[in-house]
Amino acid sequence: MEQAIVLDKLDILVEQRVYPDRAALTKDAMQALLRSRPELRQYLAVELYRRGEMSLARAAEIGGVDIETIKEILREAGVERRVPTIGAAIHEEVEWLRRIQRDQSPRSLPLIPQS
Amino acid sequence: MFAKVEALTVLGQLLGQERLATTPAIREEIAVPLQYGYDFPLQALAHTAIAPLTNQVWPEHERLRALGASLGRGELEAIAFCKIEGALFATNDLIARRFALEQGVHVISLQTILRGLWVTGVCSKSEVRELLERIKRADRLEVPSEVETEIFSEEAPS
Repeated sequence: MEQAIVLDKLDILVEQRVYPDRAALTKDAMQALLRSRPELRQYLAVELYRRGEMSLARAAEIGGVDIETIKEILREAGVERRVPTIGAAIHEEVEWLRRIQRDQSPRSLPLIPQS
Repeated sequence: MFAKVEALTVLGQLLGQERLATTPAIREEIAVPLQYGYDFPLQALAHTAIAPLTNQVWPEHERLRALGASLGRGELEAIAFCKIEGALFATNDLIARRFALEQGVHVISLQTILRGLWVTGVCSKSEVRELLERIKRADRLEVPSEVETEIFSEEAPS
């Protein structure tokens, strides 16, 4: 009951200019929640990856873990990591590899380790 | 993942060892598992150069950061580098792939590299099949049959 009253009165923090507006207050509250409960960040990361809204690397950042750990978290959550099909684009991409072998541009190849 | 199955040498044979590069942020990501006992990052770090981030790369990196909230820091750095330097960006991640293509960056995927290995004669098809199986096991990666077709078909996939 007492807690409910406090929650109802949070607008006082806005009235007293502790926060510029209700949105800033809510944002800070959400950030505090995610800081204090890392398991919620990981839950969010899994769901965003499952829905195809985040890359694996970004999911790791949101979950506050490294890439190998997010892979394990996803596996435990039953989320598969699949290599996406690319269809006919593979021939253009293989042609790029051939050009590299013939020592033409592009000249370098960053290796992205996460997927 | 090539480091996990100790196949970076093969990758070097395909592309030229001196052309394999990572950006500083990606090297940091690669190195983290060393802290809890994995050895494979050492291979990746030893076999790849650090891509030099010039003054032209940083503004592009900042521009992409504003656009790419769904990508990791290392991915954005690599895409910025590839765009400015005309390099190829290698990724299996669909989100990262789409974003890089939208930015006009050339992308290659796992299946491209594996197909390239047998098409160019660096490995036989059976060696590539064995390599793919090792990658699937080591990285617990799902490879749909359509992707295997892309890798191994003699005909051009449509």
